[in-house]
Amino acid sequence: MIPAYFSGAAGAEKAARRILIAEDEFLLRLDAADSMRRFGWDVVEVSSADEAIELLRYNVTFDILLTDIDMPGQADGLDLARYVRLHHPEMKIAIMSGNSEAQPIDPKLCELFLVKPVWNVAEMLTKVIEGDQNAK
Amino acid sequence: MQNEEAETILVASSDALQRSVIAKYLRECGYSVIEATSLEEAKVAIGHYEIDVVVSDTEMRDGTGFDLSTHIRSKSRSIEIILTQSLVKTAQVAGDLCEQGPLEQPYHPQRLVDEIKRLRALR
Repeated sequence: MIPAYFSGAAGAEKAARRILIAEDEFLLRLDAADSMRRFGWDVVEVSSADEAIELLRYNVTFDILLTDIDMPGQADGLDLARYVRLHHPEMKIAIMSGNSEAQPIDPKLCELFLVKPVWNVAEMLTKVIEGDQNAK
Repeated sequence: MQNEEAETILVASSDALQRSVIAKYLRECGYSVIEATSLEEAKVAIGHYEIDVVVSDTEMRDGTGFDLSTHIRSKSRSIEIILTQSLVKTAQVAGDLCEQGPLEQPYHPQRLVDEIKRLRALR
């Protein structure tokens, strides 16, 4: 079967929770992605906001975006979050930064803000998703 | 990484859509898969993990698959390197790997090609 998060086609496999991770620190991204997969999530990894936006323009959808702020390229993680809010309002957003003194972030821009290094990221993101489902 | 028992495949490609679909397919065939978005990331992966097979695009945003091959051969003779230049070839490579993999192929590799082409057309 075709991965549901890529296909969206009728009859496609019912996918697990889907996450898009945008992080340019390679080993950190691998670690986060591996952690999420161990939790049964479908994970798509990109190393820049530009790459994430490119992917989202293919109408590929996710339950949640986990993004760093500072990444190489034209757009940064905050630009990516704004893009997602505008074009994929159904997606939850978690923003992470290595700098706890980072510029103030509009609380409407994300459901969760994390300071790196991030531990138990899968548990925290699960709570974001489940919290939303419980609220319905 | 995900499955300590499985062979590890490094998928190196700067094409996010192609890389993600191919990597997911290989995982569903039972492999442990590491995704590198660039030559530099691929080199880091080679230095940090025990890689059995590398499937790399010939062109990446910061270098070529040949650069990667040269780097790998300077470190290891045992890593199998497969360079691919087109989506169809990459899907065939993934299909061939899956035939040798620990699990049954989840779907025919041509469907990878069809799916990626369909998504590209949606843009």
